[in-house]
Amino acid sequence: MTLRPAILSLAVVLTACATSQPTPTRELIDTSRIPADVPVALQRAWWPIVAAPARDRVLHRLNFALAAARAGAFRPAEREFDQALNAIASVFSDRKNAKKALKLWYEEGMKDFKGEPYERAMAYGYRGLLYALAGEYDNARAAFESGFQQDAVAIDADTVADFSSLLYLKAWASAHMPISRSLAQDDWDDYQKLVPQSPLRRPAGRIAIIETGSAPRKVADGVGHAELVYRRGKGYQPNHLQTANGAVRIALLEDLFLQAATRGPRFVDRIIQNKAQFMERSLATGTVLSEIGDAAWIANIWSTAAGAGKVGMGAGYASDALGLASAISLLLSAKANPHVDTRYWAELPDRLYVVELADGATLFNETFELTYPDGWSFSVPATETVVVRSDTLEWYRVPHRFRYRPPIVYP
Amino acid sequence: MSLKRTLILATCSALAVGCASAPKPNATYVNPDEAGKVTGVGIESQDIRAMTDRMVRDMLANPVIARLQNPPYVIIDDAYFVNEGSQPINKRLITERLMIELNRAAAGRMLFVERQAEDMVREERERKRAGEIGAGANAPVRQVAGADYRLTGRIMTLDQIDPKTGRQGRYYQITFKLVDLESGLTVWSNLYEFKKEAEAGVLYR
Repeated sequence: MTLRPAILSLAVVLTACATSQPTPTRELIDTSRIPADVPVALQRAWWPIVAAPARDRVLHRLNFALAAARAGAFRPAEREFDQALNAIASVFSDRKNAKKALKLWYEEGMKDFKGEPYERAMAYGYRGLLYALAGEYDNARAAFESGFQQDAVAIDADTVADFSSLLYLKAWASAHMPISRSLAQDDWDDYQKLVPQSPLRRPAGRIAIIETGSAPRKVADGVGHAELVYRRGKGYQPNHLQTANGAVRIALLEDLFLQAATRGPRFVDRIIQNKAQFMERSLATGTVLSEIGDAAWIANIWSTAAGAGKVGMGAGYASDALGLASAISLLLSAKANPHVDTRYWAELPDRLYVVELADGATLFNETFELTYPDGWSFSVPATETVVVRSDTLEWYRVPHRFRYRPPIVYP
Repeated sequence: MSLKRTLILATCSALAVGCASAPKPNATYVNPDEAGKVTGVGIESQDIRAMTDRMVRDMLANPVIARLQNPPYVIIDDAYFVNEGSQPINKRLITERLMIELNRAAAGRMLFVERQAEDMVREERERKRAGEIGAGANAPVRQVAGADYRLTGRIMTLDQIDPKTGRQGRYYQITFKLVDLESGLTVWSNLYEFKKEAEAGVLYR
C-alpha cells in the first residue's frame, strides 16, 4: 500500500515520455503565407505544408503537388515535388525524429515521412512527367531513373527493381533527346529485359497516361499494430480500362497496389517486431507478477486474521514489491509503441495505363469504359476526366467521383 | 516547509529558464564550398563550384583559344549540355556559372553570345528601327552576332546500389567540349569526375 504513490508517479512519468504531438485538424488559412501561384481552389491542399507537423511535410507536399499538376498548376507542382524529392534524396547527419521513431516508446510514424519505395518512385515519376511537359526530356529521364532506383533495396531480392512503368517512361523520354540517340535504344533494351512479354512497342512519339482508382492504403495489423499490410484503395477499384468502341489499344502500365503489397518485409520491420515482442513479454511478466502479488496479499490477510503478525508483515511487503514490479512491467508493456507508420500518399491512383498515340491522334474525344471485378462497367467521357495535354504527352485522371460501389445483395 | 519552498522555487526557475532561452535560428549561412549536414549522392554546391572553376582555368589556358587574334564569339548555355545521368538537375547552375566566371576571367579575350535572349534582342532592335524607341549610346550593328564556338557537354552517371544495405554509390562524369561552329571540330575539352556514396537510414530502406 505504501508503494502506491511511487507507482502512480512512475505511470505519470512514462505517460509523459510517450505523448506525441497531435496533428492539427481544420484551422483558418492564412492566405498571406500561401505562394501567389497556388490556385485558390488548391489553397486548402497547400496549407498543411506549413501548418502540419514538420514530420508530415513531405506527405503534404506530395499530395498538393500531384493535385496541382493534374489541375495544370505546373509551377507550384514542380516546386513542391522538388522540395519533397530533396527531402527524400537527402541523408541527414542528425535527425531527431528518425532516432525517436526507433525508440521503444514511439511509433514508427514519428519519423519524417519519406514514403515507402512505391511512393518515392511515383514522386520521381510524376516529377519526370512535369519535366517532360516542360520539354526537359533529359531531366525527365533522370527523374524516371531515380524513381526506378527507389525500388532497388529490399530484403526479398525477387521483388526489387521491378517498377517497369518508370523504365518505359525513361525509354520514352530518351526517345525525345536527339543529342543522345543511342540512349533511347539502351533504355528500351532495359525495359524489355525486365518485361520481355510486354505488348508495348518502343515509344518514339506521343503517349497518353491514364490513371484510375485510388491509392493503395497502409493498414496496421497484428499484435500492437506492428505489422504493415496493404489494401487496395477505398471503394471498389476498376480493374480494366478500354475506350467505348474498343478501337484504342490501352495497356496496363503499373498496378501500384501490387507494387506496394508484393515487396516483402521492410528492414525496419525487424525493429518494430522486437518492440512488439517486448510489449508482449512485459505484459505476460506483469500479469504473472500481479497474480503472485495477489496471492501474497491474500496470504497477508489470512495470516493477520490468524494472528501470525510477523509472517503476515512479510507477506505484505512481498505483495507490495510484486505489485510494484507488476505495475512497472505492465506500464512498460502499455507504453511500448510498435505501431507501424500508416501514413500514405492518398492522391496516388490504383493503376496506370498507357496508350501509344499516332501523330495528331488524341484520346480527348474518346470515352473511357471502366470495368469492375464483378463485371459491372460504366463510361466516362475523356473530357470529364482531369486532362493535361502537350505535344508529346496526354495525361488523364479518372477522378474519384466516378468510384463505383457494388450493390449490396441481401440473401 | 523549507524543502517544499525550495522545490517550488527550483521548478519555477527551471520553467522560467526554459521559456526565456533565446530561440535558435532556423536558417544559418554555410560555406558553399563545404559539404553540409544535408548530404546525399547528388551533385552539390561544392561540386558545381569546383567543377566550373577548373573548367574556366583550363579553357583560358587552351592554346587554340589563346592564339586567336580576334576575341572569339562563344555560346555557353544549356541547349546542348545534356543530362544523361540519374539525377535531375538544373543544368543552368553549371552553364551560367561557367559563362559568368569565364566572362570575368577572360576580360575581353572571349565574347559571349546570349543566344537564349535572342527574342529579347530582336524585339529591341525592331522597336529601335521602327522609331518606337530611340537608338542606344552604341552605334547599331547590321546583324545580331553569330558564334564561333559553342559549349556542349554531358552529365553521365554510373549507379550502384547494394539491395541489402541500401548503400548507394554514384560515379559522375561531366564532360565539357567547345565545338567550332564552322568546322565542327572540338577545339577544347575537359571532364570532371567524382564519386559519392551514401546510406539511407534503416527507417527508409
